[in-house]
Amino acid sequence: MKDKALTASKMKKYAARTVVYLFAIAVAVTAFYPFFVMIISATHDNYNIVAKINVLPGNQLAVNYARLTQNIELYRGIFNSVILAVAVTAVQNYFTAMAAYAFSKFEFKGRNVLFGVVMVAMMLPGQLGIIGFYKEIQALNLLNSYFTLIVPTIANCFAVFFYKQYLDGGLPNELLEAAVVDGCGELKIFHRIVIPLMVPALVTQGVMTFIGNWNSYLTPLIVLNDKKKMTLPLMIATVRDSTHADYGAQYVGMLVSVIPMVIVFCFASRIIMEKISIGAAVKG
Amino acid sequence: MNSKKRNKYAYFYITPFFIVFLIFSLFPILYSFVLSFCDMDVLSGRFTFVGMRNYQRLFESGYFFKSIGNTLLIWIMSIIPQLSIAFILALILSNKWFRGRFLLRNIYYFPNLVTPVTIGLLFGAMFSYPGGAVNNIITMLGLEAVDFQNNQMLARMVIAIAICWKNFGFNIIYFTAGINSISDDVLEAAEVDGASNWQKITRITLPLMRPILIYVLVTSVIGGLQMFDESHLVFKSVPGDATVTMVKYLYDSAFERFQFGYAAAVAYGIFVIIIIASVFSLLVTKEKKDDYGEKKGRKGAGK
Amino acid sequence: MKKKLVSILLGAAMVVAALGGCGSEPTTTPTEGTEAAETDTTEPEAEEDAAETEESADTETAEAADPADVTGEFTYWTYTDSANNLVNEFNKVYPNVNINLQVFGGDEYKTKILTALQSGTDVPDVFDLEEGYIYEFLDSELIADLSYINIDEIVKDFYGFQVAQMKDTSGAFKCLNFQSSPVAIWYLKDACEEWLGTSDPAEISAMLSDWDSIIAKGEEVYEASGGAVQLWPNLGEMPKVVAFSNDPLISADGKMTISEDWTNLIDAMRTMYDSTANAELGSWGSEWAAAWNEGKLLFRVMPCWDFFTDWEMNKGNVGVAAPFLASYEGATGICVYNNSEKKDVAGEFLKFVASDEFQKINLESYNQIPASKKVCDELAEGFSAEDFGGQNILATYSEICDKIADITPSKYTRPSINEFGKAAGEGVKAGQDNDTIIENFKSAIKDKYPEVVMD
Repeated sequence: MKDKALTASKMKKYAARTVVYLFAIAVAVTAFYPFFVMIISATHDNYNIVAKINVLPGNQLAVNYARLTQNIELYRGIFNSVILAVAVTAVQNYFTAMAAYAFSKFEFKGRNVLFGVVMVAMMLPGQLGIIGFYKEIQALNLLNSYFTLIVPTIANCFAVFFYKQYLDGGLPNELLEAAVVDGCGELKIFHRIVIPLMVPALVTQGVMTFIGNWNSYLTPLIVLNDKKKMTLPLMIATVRDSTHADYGAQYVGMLVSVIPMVIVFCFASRIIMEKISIGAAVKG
Repeated sequence: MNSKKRNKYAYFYITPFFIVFLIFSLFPILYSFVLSFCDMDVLSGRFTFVGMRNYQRLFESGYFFKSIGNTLLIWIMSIIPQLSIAFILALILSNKWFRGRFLLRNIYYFPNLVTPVTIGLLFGAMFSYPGGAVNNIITMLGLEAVDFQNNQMLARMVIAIAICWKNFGFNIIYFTAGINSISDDVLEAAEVDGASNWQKITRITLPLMRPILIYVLVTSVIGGLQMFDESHLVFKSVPGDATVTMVKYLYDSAFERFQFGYAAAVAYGIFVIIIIASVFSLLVTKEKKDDYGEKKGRKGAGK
Repeated sequence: MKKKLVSILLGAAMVVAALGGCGSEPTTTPTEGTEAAETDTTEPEAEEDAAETEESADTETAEAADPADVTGEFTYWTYTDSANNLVNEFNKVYPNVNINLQVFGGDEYKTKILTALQSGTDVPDVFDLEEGYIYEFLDSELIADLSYINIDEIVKDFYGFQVAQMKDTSGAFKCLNFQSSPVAIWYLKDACEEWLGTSDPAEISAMLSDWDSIIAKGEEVYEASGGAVQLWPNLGEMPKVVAFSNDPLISADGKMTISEDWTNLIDAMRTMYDSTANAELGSWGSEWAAAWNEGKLLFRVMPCWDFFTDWEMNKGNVGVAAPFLASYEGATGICVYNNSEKKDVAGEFLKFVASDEFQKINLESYNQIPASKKVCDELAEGFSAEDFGGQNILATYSEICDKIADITPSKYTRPSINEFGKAAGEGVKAGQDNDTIIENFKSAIKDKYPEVVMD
């Protein structure tokens, strides 16, 4: 009797799990679809890309690759993009986490006003700011420099907001109080306690920063004039203009540019998935 | 924590951020504010003061008001499936028994790695009439092919699907970060107390994820109402400009017609609308602050 | 830390030489170069001698008749990869001019050039602008009046419409258009043979003398094929044919006049929409391309570039015919920055690009239609294109180019045509009458260009 009841409930459990799996896999298939299209398209000529729905790979990969790399130095572009994306990710997340920590865990004069400013700044569409931004960096003589592509990214209000929300929910005040009682210095608290406990959030936001920066096109385009400093998206865009879009070459370029991100994401994903239980540290 | 002495360090922590913010973010914002009261000569960049004329033009523009409606419609059609699918999948993936979650979650995130241009090409081709991939499936089922691009509501729906498809993986990450910040102990304790899975989700997971939920909701409002790429790239032209969003209208004014003064006024018009929407969404989340439990849980899940 | 990274990167960056291939010559200082280039220019070196290049390499005469004497450098920005061809060909003749070519691809090139011009720093000496926005820019005094290189002399053999396109609203020459992109009707020979009874471009053109005959023919074909074959792709391609033949909808000083030609176009679009001639497959879509390549759609309206043809299937089977009205689409203009210190050597570049010599190379090596009528007519003699089954497409294009009206566009010209086509297409499909369509068109223009005066 007991066994039977057990198997029945087990059956039910497995049936439910199968449904869950099917749902998860169905979503995965639609999510993978663009990659499939990208990979397949990279191996076809322009006509086949625009006029047909391709399922099987073609034989134009080498030709497309040759056209893409004809006038650009692809590997320099990848190198430049990696340098920039890594620098931006590190700098932006360090300083925004710092600001968020202050907003989350300190009571200071002007806190609400300043945080309000951060929130409001997110709400202005950024498309237009590019002109004022350009005039400014030109006045500061910062054109054509990686500095201009790295430092201003610190002012990412979305990241500050995200870290603040994370710290509000995930970092117990008791832990910090204990550290203060133990006589820990301020920067030490930030580096030794706050940062380690923020790892899932840092990796989460870091991935967003990295990918956003990896794909960023408009700001580097406006700022950089030197061919040697060009990033990957700028290079790939050279095979596309308003009249002559070379889709085959473009898809090869996209494929090349997506591979580093997939690698980064797979590593980061493991860290995000690890259950780092903050609350457990100060139970009781 | 409350010692006044310690609190002064806060200024040290926020200083680097605010210095950069003042120089590189606030300046362009103020610049475009000044610009909104002027006309700018396209190449020389000279300003001519025109007073409120740009704002007057904005208020009289039926096209701008129409773009607000388009944006809200597309936003609602994309945000509801996007957040619910993301939340359900985040919960599924947080189960210990679930195999292959690393792989699946990587795949879920793939759409976000794709550049907007590709998404435009892809969705334009998928929903084309009468031979796109979607219409092939429709005709295979014995139904009549649908001309998505030439139907206002369907065209908006396609844009909404594109946005939803692009962003759900991104929201899974945030939700997962939220779920992972919940201590195992709490959930185990609930299980010992005999809580069902549903109760665990509504009574524990959702309330404890509240800060992250607020973050996701508010940024979905702020970011979502600034939608542009899909509107710009999926369909070239839709009857009655049904897929022209607010930022697309801004972009066309500035970078197609080079009317920067007017575009700046449009930017501030959009700004006001986003503030209203954000305040509204904050009020919705605030309302539930005091009553823990079911009500909050349900609302949170719905969003 | 960051600085270090940047400097390492820069160090690595030094390794690679500039693009262009012929990078061995030392560049003299720009001032010297411009002086040398500053000559009474009477040298279209079409019949230049290879030996000449050698001997005068060290003569620093003011009469720099020899291109090798022209030294200097300048920066050239463009949005199209094909500019590499221009630079490479130029350097074959002018080995001692170093062009720093930068290709900024994508739709935002205009934003890049705009911000650079506005700030006045790091502005390129020479830059390309695309037809879509060039007339927003041309009136600016930041763009050099090309009369300093005697432009009217240089382009005297160009098509009238090309010359008209190079001018700003005051009639000054502000850019150089060095190739033509006339709009033609593309067809498949076997399909036209089967359904129209001919594949000869002239006969096809003659058959399609106005919209009524096109529609009538289309209905015939539809009937004869039992509905399998249609003649016209969609309503949107109708304005493309007439774009620069009708009077502009909005004049350069912002006055709207909707001539009868335009209302007639709406009527024609309505008749087309109601007829079986119209396939209504969206331009550049996959169905549109596939139907044409399979012979189910007889015509499509295209400029002279194309990647919608399945050459594997249809090589030698493609033909182009002149439409009954002539137009162009997607032109590129080369401009010179007015405050540039290298205007003279930049001028040499423009002169080269406009020269008969380069006009020929551009056709022979890169398949671009010359802007020069003289070169076009000269080469059209006995020309035959293999992909087009030996058709003399140059003669066809030349015929179209001859017909294009000499209209100097303003910033309103192309946007108003697009807006009109959109209003007419949507209106016809929604069953609106002409007045409603024109009202819709006017309200769209009023929102986008409030300064436009309407009656």
